[in-house]
Amino acid sequence: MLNKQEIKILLVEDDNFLREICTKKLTKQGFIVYEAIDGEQALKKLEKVRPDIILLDIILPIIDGFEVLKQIRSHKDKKIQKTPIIILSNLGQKNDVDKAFTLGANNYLIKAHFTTDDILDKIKKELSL
Amino acid sequence: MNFYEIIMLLFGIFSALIGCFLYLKNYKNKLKQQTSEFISIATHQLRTPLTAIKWSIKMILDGDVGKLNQEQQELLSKGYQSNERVIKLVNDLLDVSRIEEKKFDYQFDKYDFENIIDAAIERLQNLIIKKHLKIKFNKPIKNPKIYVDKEKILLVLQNLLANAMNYSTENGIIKIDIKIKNKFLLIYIKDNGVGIPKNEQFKLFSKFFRASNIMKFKTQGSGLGLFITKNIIEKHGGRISIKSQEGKGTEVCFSLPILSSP
Repeated sequence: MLNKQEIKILLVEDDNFLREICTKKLTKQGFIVYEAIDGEQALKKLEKVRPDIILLDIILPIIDGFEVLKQIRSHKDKKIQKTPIIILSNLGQKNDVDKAFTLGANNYLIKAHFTTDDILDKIKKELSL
Repeated sequence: MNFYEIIMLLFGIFSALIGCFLYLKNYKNKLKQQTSEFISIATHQLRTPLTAIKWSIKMILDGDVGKLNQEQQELLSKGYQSNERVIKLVNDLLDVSRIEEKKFDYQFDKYDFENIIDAAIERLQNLIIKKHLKIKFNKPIKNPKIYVDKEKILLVLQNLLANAMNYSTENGIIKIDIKIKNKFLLIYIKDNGVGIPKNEQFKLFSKFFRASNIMKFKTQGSGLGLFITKNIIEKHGGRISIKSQEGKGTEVCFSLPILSSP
C-alpha cells in the first residue's frame, strides 16, 4: 500500500482558482501535488514527475485533455502508460464521457457536481488507500 | 385585367407568400439553433466559476482553513445552497438546449425500478428531514424490470418528488404508488400540498412555467423541470399526466413500458 506522504499527483487544470483550491485541499491531506496549466506542460511534467495519479481537465490550451489521455495511454514507458487518470471536466455529455473512457480514463467527474472531498475519495479509491 | 392575368397575379402573390413563409421558417430554425448553441456554450462557461464557488465554500465549511463560528457556518451554508440552485438551473438550461438541439443522449439498460425510486428518495433526504415530510411508498408485489436510462429517470423522479416536497406544507404526506397495466408500469406521485390553479394547468409542461399561487410564497425554481421530465418520459415510450386541485394537492402519473427496448 502507498503512503499518502509519498504520493505524487499531477493536476492538469487551466483555471487558476480551481487549481489553487484543489492543490490546497490535496496538499493539506498530505499528497504531493504538481501542477500543469495546459496539455503541453502536462506531457512534459509527466515524464519528469512520474506521478502516481493524474487529475486531468479536458478543455485545455495548446493540447486538450483527450489528446493528453491518448498520448499517455500510448506512452513508450509502461509505468507512465498505466498511470491512473481521473478526468475532471465540466463537459458532461455522453459522447465526452464515452470518449474519455474509450481512450482509457479510469474515472470521470463533472466538476460542478462534485466537491474536492469527492475528488479525494476517488483518488483514495483509485490508489486503494 | 382578363382572367388569365388575374390567375397569374394570384399565382405570383401565392408564390411570394410561400417564399416568405419558407424564409421565415428557415430564419426561425436558425435563430432557435443559435439560441440553443449560445445556451450550451454559456452554461459550460458558467459551470467553471460556479465550481470555484462550490469548492471554496465547501472547504471553508469543512473547516479546512480554520474553525468557523455558528453564524459564519449558517451564512456560508446558505451561500452554498444558493450556489447549488444556480448549478441546478444551469444544468436544466443545458438539458433544455440539448433537447432542442436533439442532442440529449440516452443510454438504455435493464433496471429494477424500485431501486431507482429508492435512490431518488435518498437524494432528497435533506428536504424530507427539513420539512418533516412523510413518504409512503407502496411497493408492488412483483418488481418488474424496465429498460431505461437510469440517470435520466432518476432526474425525472427527483424533479417530480422535489416538486411534491417543495409545494407541500410542513408535515405533508407524499404517496408513491406503482401499478402494472397492459405491459406498462404506472407510477403515481401524490401530495397534499398547495396544488395548481385550474386555469393554469394547460401550461404545466411549457418552459419557464411557474404557477401563480407558488410564486407568492416560493420564488425559487426555473420552471424547466416538467418540460425536461415530459421529454424524457416520452423518449422512453411513456406518457405523463397531472391532476391537481388548488389547496388540496397534486397527483402526477407517468407510464414506462416494461421490458421492451424503446
